[in-house]
Amino acid sequence: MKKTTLYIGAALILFSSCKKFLQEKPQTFLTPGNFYQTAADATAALNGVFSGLEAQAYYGRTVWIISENSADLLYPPNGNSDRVTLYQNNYTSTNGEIANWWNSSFKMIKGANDVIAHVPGIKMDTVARNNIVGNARFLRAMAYFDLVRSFGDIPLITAPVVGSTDTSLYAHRTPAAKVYQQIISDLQFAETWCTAENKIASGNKGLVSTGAASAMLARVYLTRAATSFADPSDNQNALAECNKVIGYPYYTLLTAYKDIFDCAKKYGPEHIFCVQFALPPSTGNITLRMFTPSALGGSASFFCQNSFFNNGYSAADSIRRNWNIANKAVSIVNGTTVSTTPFFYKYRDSLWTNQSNNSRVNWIVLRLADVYLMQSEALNNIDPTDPAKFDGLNKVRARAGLKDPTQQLNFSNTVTASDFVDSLVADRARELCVEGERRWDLIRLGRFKQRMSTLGITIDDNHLLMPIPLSEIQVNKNLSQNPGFN
Amino acid sequence: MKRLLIATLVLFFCTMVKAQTRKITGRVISAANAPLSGVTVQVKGSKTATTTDVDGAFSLAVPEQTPVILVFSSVGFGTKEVNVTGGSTISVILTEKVQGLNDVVVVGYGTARKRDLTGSVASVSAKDLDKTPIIRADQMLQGRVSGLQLTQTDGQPGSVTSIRIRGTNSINSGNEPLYVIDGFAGAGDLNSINPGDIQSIEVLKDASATAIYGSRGANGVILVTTKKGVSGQHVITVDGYNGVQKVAKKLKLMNAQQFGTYLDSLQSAANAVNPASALALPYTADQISKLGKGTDWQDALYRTAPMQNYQVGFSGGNMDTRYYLSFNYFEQEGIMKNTGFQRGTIRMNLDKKISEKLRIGFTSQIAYTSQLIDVTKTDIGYGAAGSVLNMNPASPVYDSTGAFTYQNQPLPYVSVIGNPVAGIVLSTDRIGTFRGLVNFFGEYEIIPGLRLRSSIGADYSSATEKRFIPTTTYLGSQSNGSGYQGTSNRYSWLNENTLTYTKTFNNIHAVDIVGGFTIQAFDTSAYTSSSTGFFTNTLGANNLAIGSNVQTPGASGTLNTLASYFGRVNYRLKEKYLFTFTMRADGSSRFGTAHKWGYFPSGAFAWRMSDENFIRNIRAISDLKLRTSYGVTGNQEIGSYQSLSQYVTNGYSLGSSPVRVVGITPNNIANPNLSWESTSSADGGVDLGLLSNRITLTADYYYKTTTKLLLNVSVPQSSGFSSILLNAGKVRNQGFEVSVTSRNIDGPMLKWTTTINYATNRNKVLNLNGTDSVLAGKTGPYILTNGLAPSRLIVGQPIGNFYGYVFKGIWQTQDQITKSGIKGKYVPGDPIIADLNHDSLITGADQTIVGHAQPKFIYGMTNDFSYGRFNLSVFLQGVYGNDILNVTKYSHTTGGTNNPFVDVVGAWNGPGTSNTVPRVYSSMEKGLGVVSNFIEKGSYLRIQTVTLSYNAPLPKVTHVFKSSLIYFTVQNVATITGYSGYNPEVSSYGLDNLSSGIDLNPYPPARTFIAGIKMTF
Repeated sequence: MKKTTLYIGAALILFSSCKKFLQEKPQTFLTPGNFYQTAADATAALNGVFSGLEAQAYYGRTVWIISENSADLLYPPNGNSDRVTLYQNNYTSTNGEIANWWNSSFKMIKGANDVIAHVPGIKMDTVARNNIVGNARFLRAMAYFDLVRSFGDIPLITAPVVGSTDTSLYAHRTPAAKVYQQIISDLQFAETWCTAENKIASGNKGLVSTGAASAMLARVYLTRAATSFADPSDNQNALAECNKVIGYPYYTLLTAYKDIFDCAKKYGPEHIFCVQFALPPSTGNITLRMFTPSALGGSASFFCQNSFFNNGYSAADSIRRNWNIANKAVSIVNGTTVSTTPFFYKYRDSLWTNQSNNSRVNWIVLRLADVYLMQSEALNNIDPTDPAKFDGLNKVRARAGLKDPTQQLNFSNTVTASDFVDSLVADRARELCVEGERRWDLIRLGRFKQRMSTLGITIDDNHLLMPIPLSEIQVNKNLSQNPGFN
Repeated sequence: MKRLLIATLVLFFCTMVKAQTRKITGRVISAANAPLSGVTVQVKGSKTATTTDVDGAFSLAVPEQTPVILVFSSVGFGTKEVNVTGGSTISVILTEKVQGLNDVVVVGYGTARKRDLTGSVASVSAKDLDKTPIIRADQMLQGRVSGLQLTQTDGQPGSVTSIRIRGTNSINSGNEPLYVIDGFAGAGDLNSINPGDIQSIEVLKDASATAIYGSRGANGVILVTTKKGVSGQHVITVDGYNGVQKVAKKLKLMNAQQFGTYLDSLQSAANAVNPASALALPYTADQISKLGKGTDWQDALYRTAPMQNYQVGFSGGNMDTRYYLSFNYFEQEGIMKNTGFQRGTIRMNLDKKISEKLRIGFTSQIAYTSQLIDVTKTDIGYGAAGSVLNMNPASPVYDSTGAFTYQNQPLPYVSVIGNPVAGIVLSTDRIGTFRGLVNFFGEYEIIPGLRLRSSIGADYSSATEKRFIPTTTYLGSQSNGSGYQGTSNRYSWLNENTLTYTKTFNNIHAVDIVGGFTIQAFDTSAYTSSSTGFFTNTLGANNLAIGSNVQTPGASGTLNTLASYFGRVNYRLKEKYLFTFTMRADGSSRFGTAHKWGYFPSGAFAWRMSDENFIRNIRAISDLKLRTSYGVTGNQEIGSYQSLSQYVTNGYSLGSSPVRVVGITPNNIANPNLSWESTSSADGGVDLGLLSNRITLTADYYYKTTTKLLLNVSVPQSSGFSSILLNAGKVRNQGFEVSVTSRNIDGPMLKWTTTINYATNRNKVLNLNGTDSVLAGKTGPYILTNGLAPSRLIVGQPIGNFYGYVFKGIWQTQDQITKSGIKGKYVPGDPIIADLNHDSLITGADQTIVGHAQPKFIYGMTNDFSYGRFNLSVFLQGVYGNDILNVTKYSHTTGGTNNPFVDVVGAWNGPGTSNTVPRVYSSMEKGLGVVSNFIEKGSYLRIQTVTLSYNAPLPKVTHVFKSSLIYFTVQNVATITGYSGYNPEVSSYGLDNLSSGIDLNPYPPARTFIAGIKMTF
């Protein structure tokens, strides 16, 4: 019996140490208790926000399935109904690509909100700290800009969601006009605090610069200028932001068009903001595989419209044509030249291997040529009679080998403001095809329905917006759907 | 090895014959004059013993001294002592005790006589199955335990099996039962246990039986007990079988000519819709006429595969020491090329009486398993099993030089798929797992009836996976070859301490008390490493440094702990009124700081009516017991650290020549209130024995409610998160189960025994955190590209329904479409989808429940016939009333470029041509998601096993043999079903609770033919 007493005693001792025994000590992840302590933590958290960009369901692929595959240059073969209905612009609220776009955007916003909320509390150099917050605010603005262009009114969440009872968990839609205000305020903060491109160390290229914030602001103002809630000074502001960027001496157009897409020449003088990709162990870019015909080692998932292939470029415009599109090429599978369905040959990588998902191709979000074209657009909007509006556009043409005066635009070959817009629509396609802005360009410039009708695709007004994913509507009773969708 | 064995045997027999002896021979029979085999015949007061053979005969060498007393004993029979004078032949009749009642079954932290049980416990012992080879330990349970549904999810040798006891309690956490191997709780994974070592498996079903396992008891408990030596016998068992397996069924796909025609019609239709991007037709009429049958890709992938099993066991003991030692080797090649499973085990169980009060011992097993799997199966639905169905039959497996072809042809008309046979044959993916399980115990009798038992044990497993995809394959060429090595270690230690007290007072009150505490920790760690860019394929994945592109290594680890106190009181009043009370307190590290401890009580009462005089007088009733129980059990099967807010690692690339930088991102919404799932269950049952237990019946009704479900509640993704883990929701299971055993014929030569069991379970979701329904389940790449799910959890409905559109045939004419008033772009040949809300539009609102994955009932039946030395055992099992979502069918009938099922030859091609298969270009069903014509009835009746065995009279020829059995077995003999896929017993998502009943390119099951021999010496 004595032994029993001893035993019970031992059990009691054990019980008191149970608390420690049952404590969880995470081994492979950080927690709020041990993160956001140092400047290095802040950097890692910012990298985490950037990380979301590389996902296939975001800036790795979905970005152009949403913006290019639904416009007049790119089309998918029969098969994948998400992509086909986006192309035909009869997509519904169950479209998986649209859900990817929604989900991935908010996922990055979540990360950005976390940085914006917690980094200011870290004891570190103020400039460095604001630079990190500025980067996060740029990325948040970029995501909200994508969302507001795609869906109109959206939930606007600007602080971390904590706990299941947080009211922002089941958010209502915020009017688009208010979303734009938040975007502009975020970008202005980024413009103030982000490092100038020439001051970003080569090892940190890829971070947001003040110039990137300015260029993005230009795009935002220009886009808002074409909406019903435009601010009267939007075009002026867009112009001012373009001028800021163009004024920075470290931004220049690359002499050779193809160098823009050279995987060995990333973050050259023309690049303003790019989503970075690299071969494993980094994340590679699947876009190259998607665009490449199967005979050339790709997955033949998207092709170039015959109309653009046949008539998109004049004979003189051969530099860009030869780089951007092709219907035959040397196969990396067996080294022979093969003829194929016309495709976009714009993105290439000498280190890409047959059928690989991974290429080094960077996704260019903003580059100087676009800023020049935006400058021209803003000038045309402000005063169609201003001859300066041809300057930016002609500079971009000249770089593409269209230097001859007969190849340059002026009031005699581009008479009205509307003619100018038509030229701009064509030129933006030639210069910026499949760079992720086509749908937004066409909508902003008022040419979407017209361009799509040339392909036999009728756009109803409802399909100028995308539906909020049905899965989201079903989970959040506070969300209403866009007209024409269920 | 062989030589050593022979030497051991020779030595063994030499020792047996050396003493001066005389011989006693005899025969043991039952009261019904049937020979009794396996009766222990022991010389009283000595260790000399033998057992009777199949004829009841025995022969025993006894010392040259007279007289001796022989003791005859056998389970289920009364012990008999016989005085034997001179050397002689004797005949002994053993009388039967009422069968079964005094059998001892294993329960949690102890054993109990079957007659004393108050809870619902099913027991399957090796003896019930000794004439049938058991390939997998879980086979012992399928169709043999009522209320237990076992689904072999995949035909891959060594793959997991899903087991549900009394329905599905949980939505997001585990529903698999707790496995306890020789007292070691949490030793899941029966795959590495040698089925030949198993003595018995007990299945604890109701709260009275499972509550002693507290937070892990809600899904039922499976207790595995391995063989121990028997005092007085030394037995050597040699068992071996060989078998072949063949694919049991093939799917009927188009041949090359049919597919060529189909592909042309598909392209013509595509060209008509998109003239801007028109392509030339893939084949000319002339080419099609020459295509012929082409390649049968299923034949190219599947093969006749051998399997074999060898076992040598030594067991026995004396009064103080008992031992069991076995060696086993099992090898099964998969019917899919380059897949298979091997297992080698060594088991040693030993116990020793040190003194009258102290006993010590251990059970132990070391096992090495090696599983060879399909490396191309990167996710459910992918892999060779699916790819071979997709291939164009006009694409050959080999080119003219005999080398593998590279990929599917002709592009771009068909899916870009690498040659799947080359992919699997040239690549390797092998998982080698070493596992050691050992449990030591010491038992001390403090005072008579009071025992202290302590045990300490460890379960360690280390799995290493090596994957290599050479540059020569389609998949390998994407990365210039890729190699991978991953190691994962699992380690669990367990200390248990119990006090038991057994005492009977005045022959009226009997108590059996157990109390104790245990602590257990589970530690896991994993490491992965890989590289790509191999200039040579020679070394495979063995040298990853040969790959030029080294990938980021992965590492992970978890530790979770469990501390528990428990107690149980069994009280028997007059051996007629039986009471059981149990209580367990579990502390688990997995839960929120405020909810570490959970308490799980249960109580039960049973009434042995047959021991009451008014029943005893009814001669037909030999046993009658009523049981009832109520209790609360828990479920803690979620991952570790789920209550905490986690910042997880990812990466980005920075720099003008970008290099990887490390990023950190919030991963989840924390929930410090996270707690146990709690299942309260009531059970009422009856055990009935008739005609001296020639017919026995056990029936139970149960009613279980699970609350505080660990539910992944979807949250709006505008939060950046997709779900949060909450204790929310409620699920109910109620059911009825019965099993009947009848010895129909029990003659001296002819015997026929039938066992039938039946179970029905009704599952209902009662609450889902306030919402009416949530999306659930997965289907893989072939349908629902729109991000929706195939199933809904709906309040008032069972878990596992299929939610989609109702198929009503095919639009035959434009006129018909116009008249119907349906809006939308439909053309004749498209499927008619029921417009359930009559708004002339087909929208999400037209979806409804179109099928149920859970069966109405499940059943099993075993018939054993024996005639003299021959025994025939036929085992049938089946399920009734469930539906299967045939996703495989989607990818082969909905207008894609995969090779369609042959019935697509008869696709709609003008008014009146078909009302079941839409026109070839219609991808409507695929785009819509779940459509009812892809839901099929999953009911089946399977002749699972037929075994014929012959007990050869070798022991008559030479006494070296104690028994010798020759057997032939066919497994998966035939299946009666209306289901069109490979196998109605399918669940491509394995253990995923919400995606059951989905057929998505599974590894098809095999039909197996086995011949074996089993001898004891």
